[in-house]
Amino acid sequence: MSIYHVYDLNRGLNVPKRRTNCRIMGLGAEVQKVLHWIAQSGKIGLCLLWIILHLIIGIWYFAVDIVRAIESYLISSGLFKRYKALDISKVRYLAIVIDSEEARQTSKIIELLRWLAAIGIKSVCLYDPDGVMKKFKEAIMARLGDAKLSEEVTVNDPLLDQKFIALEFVSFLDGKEAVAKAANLLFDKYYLAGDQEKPIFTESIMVEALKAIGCVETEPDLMLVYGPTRCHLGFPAWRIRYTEIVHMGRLKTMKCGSLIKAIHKFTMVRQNYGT
Amino acid sequence: MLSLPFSCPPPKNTLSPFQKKPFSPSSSSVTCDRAIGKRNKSNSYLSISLPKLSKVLVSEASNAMPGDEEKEISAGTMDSPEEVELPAGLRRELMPNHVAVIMDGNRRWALERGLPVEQGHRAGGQAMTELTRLCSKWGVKVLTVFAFSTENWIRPKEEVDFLMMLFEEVTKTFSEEGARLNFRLSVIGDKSKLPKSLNQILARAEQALKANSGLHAVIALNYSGRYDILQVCQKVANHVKDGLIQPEDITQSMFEEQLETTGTKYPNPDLLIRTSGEHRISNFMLWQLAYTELYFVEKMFPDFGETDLIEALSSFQQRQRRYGGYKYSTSTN
Repeated sequence: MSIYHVYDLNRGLNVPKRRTNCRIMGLGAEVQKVLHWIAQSGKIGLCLLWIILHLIIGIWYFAVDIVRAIESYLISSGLFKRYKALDISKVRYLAIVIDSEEARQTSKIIELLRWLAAIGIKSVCLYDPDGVMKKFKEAIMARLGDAKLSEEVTVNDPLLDQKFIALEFVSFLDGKEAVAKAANLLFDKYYLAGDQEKPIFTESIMVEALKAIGCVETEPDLMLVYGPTRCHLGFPAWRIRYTEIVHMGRLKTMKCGSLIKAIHKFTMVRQNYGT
Repeated sequence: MLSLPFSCPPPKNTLSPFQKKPFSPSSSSVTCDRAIGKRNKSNSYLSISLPKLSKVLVSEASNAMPGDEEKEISAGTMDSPEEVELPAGLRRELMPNHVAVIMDGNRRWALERGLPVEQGHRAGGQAMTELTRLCSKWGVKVLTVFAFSTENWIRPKEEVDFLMMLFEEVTKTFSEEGARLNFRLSVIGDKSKLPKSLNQILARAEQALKANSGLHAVIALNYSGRYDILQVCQKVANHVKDGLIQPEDITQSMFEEQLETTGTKYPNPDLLIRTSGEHRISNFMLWQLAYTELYFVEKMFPDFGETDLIEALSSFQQRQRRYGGYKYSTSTN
């Protein structure tokens, strides 16, 4: 580094340049220290802000849960007038879709069915993809008491005088697999049978084929989905053209008030059925 | 769907707390012999990672810069989805491959504003074009829109005629946009009942955009989910009659290969969005929606914009998807 003299304004002296450069370097180091301190503080500040944000959101959701629980209690205890008189006639057939893992909680399912029976629902279709509820259907029916299988309910039983709840147990194999079987049946009936004229398959032909292989044709008016995912998990596709679908959350957090609220909302909906 | 009927909107579907979902390669093609059953430990409350916060700050800063929008889209030089910055809160690896939309509420939108119904449909057409552009930009691979149902033919003749004319206009716009934005076009539904002129325009547009490799836009015209299933039954019966397959080959998997949506790379939607507050699928893709996340929005379709799409995608990205954890077996249930 070459040394040359610089006039120092403060001291009025010619000061060697090297000392000035050292001062500048020292100043730079100071600035760097300050900047580093600011960066560290900034990071800590961001972390703190992050934690506070998480806390606020956590408190918010906790509060929402509390409010929902209170609302549900008030609804189920009949304190809200508008939920007292439910027009159950609009819910002729209700589908309950449950995640297969949650469907193992048979006590919860029985509790849900008891609530539905108390509300006045007469026909319920219980679906889970793996057929867990199908496997436990005898146990469920036995513990429920006043329940019959849908296939045992004769046409002559008037629905309005029905003192029991009719249950249908369905799984994934009653959906897509059943349609494939119905297609096979249609082929056998219309394409293998000699010189019979080959029809254009219509919806009514398909319905007949599904009936022939034992599938129920009734389309649910309302579907309540219990589980972590908001999809119908493969419920028989043919039957849900105009079914109202409501996600209810997990089965373990189910509440009678939420059930009543969902049914009430459905009764307020005007369905045009695509026309 | 541009012309779904008017109905009383139900109260808002309140969402349960978001649940964090793990990263998994998103695949919407669900067949019985695939088992994707990872379950996430549920986290009831919203969780955003710290790095995303800085990304928020960065993306907000970059959003403030003018001219970025135009820079991204230029004739023949569309940035690939990998290069385009996603809106804050969205993760590229969690984008749904296939989004389906039931475009409901055009008529109600117009009636609420004292406008003729045709204006509502036009506004819906514009919203559809914008939706397609956004999906293309953000890396959605397939977008299916429910434009006209088999049940809609009983609407007033003037409205139906207007819709057919509007579809022709929208298809022409699609052709131009598709050429610029590199997306393809397909039409599903019973085209035999559509006007000849519309069919010609659709065929030309499909042909012109066939070679594009970007977003695959699928328009469901005169479509019905039951019709889709029935036409498969007819097809497989004919195939068996012609000796192409054996009766025992009529299985669920084979069935799925014959559906109208089979021409897309991802035939089953990951996410279904329905506007106008209705909570049903109205005979749309009945077979394909088995494990599709359902997202119902209160807004009418003409009002469904970029912010709403971001919300829908964000909601999707935070949900668990287990595809039923289902593995096909020959056991009878």
